[in-house]
Amino acid sequence: MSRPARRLLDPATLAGIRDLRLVALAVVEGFLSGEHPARRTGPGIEFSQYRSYEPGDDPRRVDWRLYGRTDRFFVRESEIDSDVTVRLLLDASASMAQRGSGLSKFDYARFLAAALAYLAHKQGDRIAFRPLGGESALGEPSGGGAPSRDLAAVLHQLESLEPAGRWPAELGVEGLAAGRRERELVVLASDLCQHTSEILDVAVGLRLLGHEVIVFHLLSAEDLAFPFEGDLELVDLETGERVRGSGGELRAGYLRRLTVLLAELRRRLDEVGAVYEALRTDRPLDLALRHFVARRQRC
Amino acid sequence: MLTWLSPLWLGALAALALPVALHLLGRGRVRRIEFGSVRLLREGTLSKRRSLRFHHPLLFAVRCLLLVALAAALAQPRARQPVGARHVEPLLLVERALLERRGALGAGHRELFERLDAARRGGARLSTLETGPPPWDLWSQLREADAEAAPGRPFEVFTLDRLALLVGERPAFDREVRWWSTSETREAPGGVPLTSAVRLRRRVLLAADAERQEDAGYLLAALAAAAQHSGVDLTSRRAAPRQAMAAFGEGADVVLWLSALPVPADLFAALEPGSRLVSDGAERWERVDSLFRVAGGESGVIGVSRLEPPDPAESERAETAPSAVLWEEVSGRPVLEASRREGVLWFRFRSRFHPAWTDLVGHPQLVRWAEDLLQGDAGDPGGDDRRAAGAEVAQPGRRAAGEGPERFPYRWPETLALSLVAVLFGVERWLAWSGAPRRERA
Repeated sequence: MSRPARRLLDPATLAGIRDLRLVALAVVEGFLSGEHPARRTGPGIEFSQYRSYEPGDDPRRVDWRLYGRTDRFFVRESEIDSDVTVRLLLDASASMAQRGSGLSKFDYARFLAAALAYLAHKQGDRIAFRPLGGESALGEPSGGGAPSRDLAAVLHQLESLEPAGRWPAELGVEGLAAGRRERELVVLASDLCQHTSEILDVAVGLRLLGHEVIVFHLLSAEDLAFPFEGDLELVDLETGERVRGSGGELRAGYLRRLTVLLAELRRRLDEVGAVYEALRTDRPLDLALRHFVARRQRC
Repeated sequence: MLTWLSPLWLGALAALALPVALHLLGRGRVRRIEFGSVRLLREGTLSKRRSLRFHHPLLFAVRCLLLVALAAALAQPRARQPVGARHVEPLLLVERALLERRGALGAGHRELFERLDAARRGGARLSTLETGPPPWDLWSQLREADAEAAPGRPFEVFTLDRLALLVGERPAFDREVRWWSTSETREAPGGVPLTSAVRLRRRVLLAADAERQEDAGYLLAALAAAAQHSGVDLTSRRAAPRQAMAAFGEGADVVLWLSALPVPADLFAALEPGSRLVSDGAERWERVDSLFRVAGGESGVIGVSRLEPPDPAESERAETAPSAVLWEEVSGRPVLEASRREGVLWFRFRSRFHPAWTDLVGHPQLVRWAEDLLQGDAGDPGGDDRRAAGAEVAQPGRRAAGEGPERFPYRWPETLALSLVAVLFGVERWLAWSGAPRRERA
């Protein structure tokens, strides 16, 4: 990937772009430059482009009118809509508001969701978006997160969303995605701050329904290093609970438990064949897009 | 009841503001962080939270207490013992020289020593009084004893008859003080035994052979030191032994006969009863090197070349009344004898007062013996002590306000405060250590 393209994926750069569509555009175009093809083309109704005839092409696709005008064989190509549904589940609970040295986890997740939605739209996929928790000026997404090809609606929904509250209690897997008959690509972006294993259970449940599941675990640099020193009072963003102690005193135990937790999450999701990827919110988004594209191609 | 000898140190309590300020500043330094994974902290730090809650205020309290205890210790708290707990057994204050000279003082002061022994058998504590060159600083020693002793505990003071050496106003004590002295005493109201108002005077006649002039020098020096120490006015005259009688003229209280010649009978007859005569050994006698020890002395054995009369018939012992052996050498033979003959106390030294003959010369023991010689109490029970104590020492002075013995003699509050400082310091270090960040146990 070229350097300017990578720069477009940098969260610090993205933070300066107010328009979420532009963010998505920048991310996806930067990501796709030189690496991945654009939307598939082929026989269809919606015109995309002409190209020269090549041996092996179906002669029925030759545009004979154009041949009459130019005396050369051209093949008419159309954009092909896929039957793949990309379902974006975004954790919008209050803990996602954690802001480290750069973007908050929620902003990072918002950019990620926008980029994925754009990428999916570009590939002709249907998009379903469903925030989990949070507050939106628009209320619940229309259709309860039903798939559509309306990218603008998804981006608008993303822009109006703010993190708040807790992960929805009694959240059933059935209402989050299609049933077993339709296979979807489900992307869950969350900080996985769960009180028991409610978020993990959702991911596992979706996978057991037969969907392709990618879990993006968002971690800030502070989450991974716990660099705090001195006397601290750490406040839980969701419950308001407080823990006091000195940074050095708390660090070792915290890091040890975090390592165990990450290994356990990866093990549980690997067991059911879901993709687990820990994303640092101070790192570019290309890693997430690469995983998405790889898994998309399996659909 | 408690008081403070250095109450200004209590002002150091203002230093308490320091840990309070540190504590408050420390509280303000707690950084508040919004964190998503508090669950990972909460699970493992519950016990530590309790510890922290408990630990910091405790450490703070201990540090404050440490400062309070330190200030209290520096302010030197004193307490007065409750009246009910006062001691009744007396404190015996005994002059060291009295103990050392007990053997020499003989039976004449039996009552004094019986009282001393009875008090010691009864469990009374004994404290010694040091005798230095005049003026004798007895009062400060008594003041010191008064400050340290329990209130109401009676004193019994035992001294040689050196009270004439006392100077200065006698301090008043809030306790009964009883005096015992070897002097001829009459009890003054309130205590100090007084003798007559006449200062003791001694006239010494020295008759020495030409070859014993050096001996005479040593002996006279010892007498001069003894006279100064015991406050005696001493005058001495020298004469050749053959002209001794001519020089006797005005009389003498002490005659030193350092000569190979025998003491002339007319000289002896001229001596008044109560006078002292000192003679040394004759060189033609047999010389035997030996050692002797002085009873009650503190300086161990003293070397001596003893002069032994080869023929007992030649000994003058036969001419005298039975003599008392004051000093004897290791094999039991006499070094110094004393006998009374016609009222004259005659000391026979079986050697010479010369460094070539005995280590006694230059030894403190010689000065002590010379002092006894001048006082008349060595081997002379009921001697004629005519020394005086100054009138100002007879009665206690009036105590000015704020003076006098320490009214709060007990130091246990200070000791307690110091112990508390040590304990609190240890606790503070332990708490600080146990609360310091350290690696968690795996």
